Amino acid sequence: MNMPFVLGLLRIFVRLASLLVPGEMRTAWIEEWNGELWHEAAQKGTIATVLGLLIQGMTGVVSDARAVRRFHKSHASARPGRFSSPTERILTTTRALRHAVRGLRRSHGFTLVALVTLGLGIGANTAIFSVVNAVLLQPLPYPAADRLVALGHRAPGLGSVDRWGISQANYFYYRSEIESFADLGVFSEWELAFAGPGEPERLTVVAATSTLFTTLGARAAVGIWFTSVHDALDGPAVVVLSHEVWTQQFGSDRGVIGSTVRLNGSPREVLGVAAPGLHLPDRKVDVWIPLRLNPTATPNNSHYLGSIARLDGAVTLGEARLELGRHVDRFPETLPTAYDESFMRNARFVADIVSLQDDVVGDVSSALWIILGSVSLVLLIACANVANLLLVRVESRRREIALREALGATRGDLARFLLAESLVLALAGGAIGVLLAGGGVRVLMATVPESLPRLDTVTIDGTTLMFALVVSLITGVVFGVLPLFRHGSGAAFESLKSGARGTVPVSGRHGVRNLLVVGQVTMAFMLLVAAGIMWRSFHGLREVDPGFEPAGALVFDIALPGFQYQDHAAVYGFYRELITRLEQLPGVEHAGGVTVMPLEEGARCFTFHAKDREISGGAAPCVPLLFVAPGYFAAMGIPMLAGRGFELRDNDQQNGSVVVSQVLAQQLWPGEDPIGKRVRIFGPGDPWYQIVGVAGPVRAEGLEEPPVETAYFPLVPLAGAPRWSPLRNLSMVIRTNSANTVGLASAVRAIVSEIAVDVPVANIRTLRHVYDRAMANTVLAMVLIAIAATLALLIGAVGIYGVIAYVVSERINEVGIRIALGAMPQTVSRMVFVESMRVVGLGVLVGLVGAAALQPVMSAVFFGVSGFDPAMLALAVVGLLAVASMASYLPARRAARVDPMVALRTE
Amino acid sequence: MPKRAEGAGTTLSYNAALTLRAMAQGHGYGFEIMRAAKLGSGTVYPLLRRLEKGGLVASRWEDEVHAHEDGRPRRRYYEVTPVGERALAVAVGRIADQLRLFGGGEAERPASA
Repeated sequence: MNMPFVLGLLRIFVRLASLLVPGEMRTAWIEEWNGELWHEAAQKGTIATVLGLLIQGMTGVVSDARAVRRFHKSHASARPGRFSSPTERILTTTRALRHAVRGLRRSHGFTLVALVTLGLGIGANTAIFSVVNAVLLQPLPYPAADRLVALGHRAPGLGSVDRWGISQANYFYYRSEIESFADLGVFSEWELAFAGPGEPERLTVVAATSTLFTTLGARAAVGIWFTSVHDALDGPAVVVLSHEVWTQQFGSDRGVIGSTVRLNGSPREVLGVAAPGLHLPDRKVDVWIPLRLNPTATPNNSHYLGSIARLDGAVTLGEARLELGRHVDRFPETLPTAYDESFMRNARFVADIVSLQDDVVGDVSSALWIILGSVSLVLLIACANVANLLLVRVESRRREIALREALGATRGDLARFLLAESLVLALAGGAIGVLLAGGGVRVLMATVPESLPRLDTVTIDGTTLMFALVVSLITGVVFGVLPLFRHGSGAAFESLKSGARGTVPVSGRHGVRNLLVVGQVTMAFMLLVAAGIMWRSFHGLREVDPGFEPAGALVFDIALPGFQYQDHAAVYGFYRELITRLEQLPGVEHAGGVTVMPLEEGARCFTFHAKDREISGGAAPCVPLLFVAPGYFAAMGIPMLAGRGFELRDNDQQNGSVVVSQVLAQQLWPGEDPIGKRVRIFGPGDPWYQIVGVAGPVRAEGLEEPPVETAYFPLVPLAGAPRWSPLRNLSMVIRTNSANTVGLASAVRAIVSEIAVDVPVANIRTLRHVYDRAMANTVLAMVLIAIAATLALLIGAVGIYGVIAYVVSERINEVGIRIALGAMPQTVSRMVFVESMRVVGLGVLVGLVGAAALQPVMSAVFFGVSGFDPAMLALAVVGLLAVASMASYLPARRAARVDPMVALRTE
Repeated sequence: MPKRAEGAGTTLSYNAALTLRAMAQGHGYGFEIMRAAKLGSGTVYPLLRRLEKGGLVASRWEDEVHAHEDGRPRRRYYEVTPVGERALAVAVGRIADQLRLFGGGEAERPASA
C-alpha cells in the first residue's frame, strides 16, 4: 500500500462526502480537504501512519461535511427557501410532512370528516376499478392471449341474433384451408356424473380436440394433455383432470396418473392434470375429455361446437375476417351437403370472429365504464367538499399564513406547507379507501349474479393499488391547490393591513359554491327516492305468492348415467325406489321430483292439443311441460284444486294420467271441469292422455311474471307408445318437518348410494334458497342503490357543512358586530341556519322535479312500482332535511358562540 | 437542533479549549492541530467550524506560491482571533479552578510545554 493509492482512495471519498456539503461551498471544501490530505500523504510513513491517515481522513471528512452543512443551514434559515442540496430538500419536505401530520391531529373534527369523505370517494372508485381491471383490462390467462379469437357463425336472415358455433365439417375445413389461423380447436360442454375416489359428483366436463390445447398454449402440471392419438374415433378413453379437482378430490397425489375414474358410468384412464387456473375463458372446467370427431363424416348443418383459434404471425382480425368470408361464400361448392345456395341466401350465413377477450366480456364493458365514470364524479364532488373544508381551515389560519409570508416565506413555501397537509390527508384517505374497497369487493362478489364474466378474478391487486395511489395523489393535489388560488401572494399582506374581510355580501362570490350544494342535495334526494322505490319493489316481490311453499323443503339434483339406465323401466325403477325410501325417513312428509324446478332455468315447451278444442287458425300452442315424479305437488306445497295428483300406480300401470295447472285449464276450458278431458303432445298419431287433476297456479318463470300455463306429465309414457326419452335427470323435492336439514342431506346421500353407487347427488339446496335466488337481481340493485344513496347523503352533508362553515368564518366580523350591538346569539345562529336551509330547500325542489321524472322510468323497469308515490317522496324529503339541518346547525351554533371582542379584534 | 456556535459569551468545551490552545501554540493546519491537541479528526474539524462560526477562529488559504513551488494543492490555515484568545484565557482559568476545587473529574491531559 503506498501513499498515492491511499491518497487516491481518500480523494474519492472526499468527492462522495462532498454531496453532503451545500452546493456553493462544495468546491472550496473539496479543495481544502485535498490540500490537507495531500500534505499528509506526502510525509513518508510506516504502515501505521498510512492506516492512521486513512482512518483519520475518513472520519474527519464525514464529520466535517456534516458540521459544515449544519452550520450553513442555521445560517441560511432566514433566507427564502432555496435549496442547495438534494438532502436539504428532502429534510425540509420531511419536516413539512411531520408538521402537517401534527396539525391534522390537532383538529380531529376536520380530519375525521375529511378522511371519511375521502375514504368513501377513493374507496368506491378503487372497488369499481378493481372490477373493471379484472373483467376488462387484465388479459385472459393464456400465453399471448391477444392473438386468440372466438370463431362462430351468424344467420341473421333466420331471425336469430345469437352466435352459432361451428360444425364438425367446418372444423376440418377451416383447419386445413384458413391461412390466417396458426391453429384452431373446438369443444363442447357437458355436465356429467364423475366418480373418483371421493363422493360421486356432477362436474363440468368439456370434450375438446387436442388442437384446442395447442391453440390455447395449455400446460399440464402432471402427466400430459391429449395428443392427436386421442382425437381418433377409436382412441383410448382418457381424461385430464383440472388442477382444482386434482387437489380437492385426489389430494394432489401424483400417483393419480394411470388410475381409473368413471365418467357417466364408463371407465376412463387419467392421462394428466391441467396447470392451475386453466379453464375455458368464461367457464370453469372440472374435467377434460377428448372430442372424437370423424373427419370423413358427411358434412351437415349442425353448428354446435365452440371454437377458439390463434391468429398466425402478424395477421390482423380484419384480414382473418376477410379470408374467412371468402371461404364461407364458396361453401355451396366446397361443402354442398351442408350448405346450398338458397340456405346461404335466406339465412345470410356468415362467419363471425371476435377477439377472445371481447367475446368473454361482451356488452358488459360499456356498462362498467359508465359506472366507473359516475363513481369518479362522486369522487370529484367529495374532493370539492374537502377543498371547501380546507378553505374554512385556511381562513381560520389566515393570521398564521400572513405572518409566515411577512417573515419571508415564499409562495413556494406556502404551497409546500398547504400541499403537505392535503397530501397527507389524501394518502391517509386513500389507505382507508383501499380497506373499504377490499371489504366492498367481497360484499359485491357475494351478491352479484354469476352471469358477470371473469368475476372470480376480481381482487385488489398491484394494478388496483397503483390506481388507488394515483387517484389519492391527484385528489390531494386537486383539493390542496384550490385554496392557494384564493391566496395570491400579497393578498395575505393586504388582509393583514386592512382587515378587509368580514362584510362581504353572501351571494355573488358564493354562486358557484351554492350551486355545488344544490347539486349535491338534488342528487342525494333522487338517490334516496330511488332507494325507496327499490325497497317498495322488493317488498312487493316478497308479497307475491309463488304458488308453492318455500319453507320446510329440501331440493337436490339427480343425474343417472346413461350407460346403466337405458330405458324407461330402469329409470323409473330407480326413482320409484328413491321416493319410497325417502318417504320412509323420519321427519319426511312427502317426496317427489320434477324435470325443472320453478324459478329455475331449463323448462321447455311442447306442441299441445286438447281433444275437444279446435285451435282456430295458427299452429298448436307450445305449452311449457314438466315431467313429474309422484309426490311432487305435496312436497312442493302446491295445492290440488280439483281431482288428484300423481301416484306411483300411474307410472306402474302406465295409464296415461296427466295434471294441468289451473291457468291452462281456464284458458282451454273456461268455466268447465277439465277432469276427464283428453290432451296430447306432439302431433296426430300420438296417443291421448287423460286429465286427472288440476294443480294450483305457480309463478315458475319469475315472481314478477304471471303464473305459467303448465301441463304436468308422468315419468313413464303410455304403454306401448313411448314418445319421450327416459328422464334421467330430475330435481327431487323433500318436504320435511325436521329442522335438521344437514342430517337429512347425508341421509339422502346414503340412500342414493345404497340404491346405486355411481349416482351423484348434486346441488343440495333448500326450496327457500330457490325462492331467494329469484329475488337476487332485485336485491342486488337495491343494495347498490342504497349504498349510492348513503354515500351521496354523507358527502352531501359534508358539502353543506363546509359551505356554511366557510360562510360563517368569512362573516365573523359581521356576526361579532351584531352580537356586540345587542343581537341575541340565538338570532344570529338562526339567521345562519335559515340561510343555509334556503339553499338546501332549493336543492330539494329541484330534486322533487327530478324524482317525478324518475318514477315512470323506474316503474317501467321494476316490479310493483306504479304511478306517483307521495309517501315515498315525503319520507325522502324529511330524511334529507334532517341530515341537512344537522349539517347546518353545527356551524350556525358556532356562529352564535362567537365572542364579539375576539371577532372584532381579528381583522 | 443545530449546535450553538461557540461565541464570546459562552464557555468553551474542554475539547474546544484544547484545540484553541494547540492553535495558540502555533499549529494552524488541520492535521497538525489534531496531533498537537491529541484529538481525532472527527472531533477537531467540526470544532474548527463551530469556532469559526462563533468568531473565535479565522481561516484563510495558505500562500499559493508556496504550494505551487512544492507541487501540491494549497491548504487551509486556521488561527485564533483576539476574541478567541480571550475565551481561551477564561477557559484555562476555569479549568484550573475546576481541577483545584473538584479534583480532576475529566481525564487529565499533560500540558505540553
